[in-house]
Amino acid sequence: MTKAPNLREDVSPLLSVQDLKTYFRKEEGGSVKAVDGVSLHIRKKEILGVVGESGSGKSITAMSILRLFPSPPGYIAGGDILFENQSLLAKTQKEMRMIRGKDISMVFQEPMSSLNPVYTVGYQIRENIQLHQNVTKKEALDHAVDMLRLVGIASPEKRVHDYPFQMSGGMRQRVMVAMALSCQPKLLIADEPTTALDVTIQAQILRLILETREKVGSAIMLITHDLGVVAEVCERVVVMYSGKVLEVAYVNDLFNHPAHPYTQGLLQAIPRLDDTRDRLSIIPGSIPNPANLPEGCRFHPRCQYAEERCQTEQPPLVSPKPSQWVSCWRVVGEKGVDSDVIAATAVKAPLNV
Amino acid sequence: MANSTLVDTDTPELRESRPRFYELHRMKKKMVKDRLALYALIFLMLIFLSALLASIISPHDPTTGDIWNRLKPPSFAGGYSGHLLGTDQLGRDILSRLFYGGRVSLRIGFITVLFSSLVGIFFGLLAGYAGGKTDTIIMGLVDIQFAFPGMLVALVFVMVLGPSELHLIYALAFNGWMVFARMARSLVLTFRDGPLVEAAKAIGVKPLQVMIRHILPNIFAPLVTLFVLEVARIIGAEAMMSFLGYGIQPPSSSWGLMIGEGRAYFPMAWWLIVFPGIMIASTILALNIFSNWFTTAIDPLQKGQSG
Amino acid sequence: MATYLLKTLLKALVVVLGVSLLVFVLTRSIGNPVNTMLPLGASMAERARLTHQLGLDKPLLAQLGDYVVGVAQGNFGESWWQQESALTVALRPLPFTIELSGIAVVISLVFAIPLGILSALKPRSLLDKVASTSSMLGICVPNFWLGLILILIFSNLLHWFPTSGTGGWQYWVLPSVTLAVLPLGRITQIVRTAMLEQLRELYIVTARSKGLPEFWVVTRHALKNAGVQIVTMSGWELGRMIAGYTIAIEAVFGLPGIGSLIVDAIGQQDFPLIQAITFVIAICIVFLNILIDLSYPLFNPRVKFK
Repeated sequence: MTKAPNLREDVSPLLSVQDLKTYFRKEEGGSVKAVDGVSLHIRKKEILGVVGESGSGKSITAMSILRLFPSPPGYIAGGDILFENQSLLAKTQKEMRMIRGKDISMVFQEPMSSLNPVYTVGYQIRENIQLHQNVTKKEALDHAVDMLRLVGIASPEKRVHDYPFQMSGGMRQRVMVAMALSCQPKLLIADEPTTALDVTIQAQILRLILETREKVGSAIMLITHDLGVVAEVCERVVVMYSGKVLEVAYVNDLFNHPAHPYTQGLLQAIPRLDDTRDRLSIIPGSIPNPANLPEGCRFHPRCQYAEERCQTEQPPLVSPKPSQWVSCWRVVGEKGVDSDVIAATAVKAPLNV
Repeated sequence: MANSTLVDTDTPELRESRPRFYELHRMKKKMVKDRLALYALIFLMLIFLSALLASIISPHDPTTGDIWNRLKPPSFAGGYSGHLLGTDQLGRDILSRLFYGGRVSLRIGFITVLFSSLVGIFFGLLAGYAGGKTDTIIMGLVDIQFAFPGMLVALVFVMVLGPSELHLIYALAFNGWMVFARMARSLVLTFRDGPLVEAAKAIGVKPLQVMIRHILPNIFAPLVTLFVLEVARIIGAEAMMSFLGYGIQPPSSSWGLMIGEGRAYFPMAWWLIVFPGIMIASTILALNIFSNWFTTAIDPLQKGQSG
Repeated sequence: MATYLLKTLLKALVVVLGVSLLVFVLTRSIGNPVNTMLPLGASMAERARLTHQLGLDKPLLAQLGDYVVGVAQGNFGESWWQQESALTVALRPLPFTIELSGIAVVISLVFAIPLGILSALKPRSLLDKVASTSSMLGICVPNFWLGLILILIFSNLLHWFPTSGTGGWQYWVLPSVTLAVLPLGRITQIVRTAMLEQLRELYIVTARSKGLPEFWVVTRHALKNAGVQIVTMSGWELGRMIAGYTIAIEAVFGLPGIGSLIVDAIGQQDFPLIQAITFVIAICIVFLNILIDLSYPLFNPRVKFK
């Protein structure tokens, strides 16, 4: 079975998701396996990208970390999540509440509806501060103003009394980031933070997120379906598909030497300016229905390299070279890597992207 | 190369090719699953039948009473076997009066709402489709009338016109058209500017035709739900007015009137009041249950769900 | 904010005028009330005199003119039945009805809001089903009948409360509980629906992701957003209570409120009194609606800036 990547002690990861399984019970019995054995890790101050199509399970993975998914019908069916070497799944709701907003924060996709329309942005930010820190209302409000300034909102002392509907989408997203950072979290999870914004604002928000790492020192888990965003901002990437991790690599490695056929397909599908083809290349077929998953490798129905083994057995996550993991029989076959060998490798310094 | 495609069995094209009554068939199946709605429907049909066949199934004449038999309790509580639910202060059989009273209450409920719905839907469609000044005027009227104290106005109506069944219907219908107008208008607005109508207009369908052929079928279902709810409300309102003495007048009977008349003999002759009240409450309840079920059953967003 | 206030007041004014006009037209369109007021054998001269005295011989428009002028001065003429200023007679029982309705609304809110919230938090649970069923029943049972049944059980059989009339707190229990049942059902339903709707929104997930205790998420965040709908419905029910339900309840329990008064006034065909009462009730409802509209900015700041 897939084991979590093994790392040296002095670089133990900030967050380590180990073979996580999050399922959703169906009314008529059985479960939808939204996240089915996902492993990934994030180191301190690292920017990890999690890429996948809609339905790949990336959002649910994020929600599972903070245990925010609706439960019922969702439930953790297996695996563990370690944060600073403590199991998050073993914590009570009360303990989780102390972590949310303080050690781990989230930013969501829809800035238009992520903020409560009947409270000022100042109130919503200071609510977070007052919840986790022992400060007076005034101190919290001042801090909120500082946060607004941090995220680049002009005249923050005035805007702190604005309501969300008085702000544009880009501004609201900045407020969300301000709110998420207000208690200096160690990990910021950004779930498609720029998808609902236009391209110019996208760039601003991405830059903001990068600056975050500098100013606040948070690690960032950036969830997106946009490979362009990944290339611009992330250090390492996790590629997810249908509830599973298919590939993990440093950004350069992923873009230059993609190991998994799915990743290869994704990269080929990106149109290029110097393209002379008439038609765009696509990956044939569509993602499997989570209620009706294929046997064996989840990707095999669409894979041009699919063999018999792919149709019956799920490939484990193996490491063909340091800091790269792939879940594909082809890789196992080619490299001759034994499914149980997961190299205890030294972790290289993050590349300068 | 493996290439599996999942076949979607519920695409619009496939739906079109199914038999016409698939919707009804599906709803029938759903109803059998939601037992409560089924019971409600059965109950309503029974009420309807008993009202229709009142003259046949009533054991006694509801208007003539045997004074010597007055105020007899129900047969299961010590009365005579001839009067299952007892007799009233004039010796009339309660059960028979319930059947005939049901006839009156249902009739008034249905006719009143028929009036108010036709008027209301007409104005609502007009306001929604014409827009502009017409819309503002009509909706202004709706808003104003919504704020009227309805029961009060109905009472005054009846006082002024005289308490007959027809006047009662006028009085109750007067304050009932606004809900239909509002709903019809909002439904029209949802469709009027939508792609459905745009497409029809693009191929040259005339405005009136658009309204009737394309918009009306889509707004039919929610209006039916509202109709049923309004009938329930009017039955309650008629009961109250008859109870107060300003609705149906003796010697006819309606359930509300029976309660009003029986008050003087309460609480000793409890059956005078308990049974008519149960009838009113259960009829209104059944109508509400049915309309709730209907709303969820026709909702296309619920297709394919089993619960 | 100022325009919002103005619009509200304007609408209110139109409503009051509309209702008063309607009542005026209705009462004047009847045959001749003089006939009911005079004994059968009255002479033509007497009829003529009374008609003139009541101002009923003037053309309709003139009567309307008098009426409007009178209303502007708060003068509805003299009640034919009570020989007092119609307005005074109409206003006297008003406080009682308002008190009774107020108590009933408070009772219904106290139970409906928690019940609705709990139902929304655990949809399809046993609690939810029980709450839904009882609210449905509350809506469907005719309130005057319920009053009678409650009298039967709690007055006649158990002797816990008096049957009718006024007095100490015991006299208020059965009437206010009876009145409260229907609004309780409606408000529970609306609270449940509104809360379910709000709990589906994304800002709720955001609130939870901050580590907010579930209680605050539900009350401070979701409930406030649902506030407008809940207040609207509660106000609406209170208005309908004053304008309608109390009529039957006061009749059942023999209470001296404005509902009883209007039943009597209609029975007596006392035009001025009927006009005055209708006007008074219309003003009450309009005032209530204004209060409700004014409360919206508390819940939804967007309204302030319209």
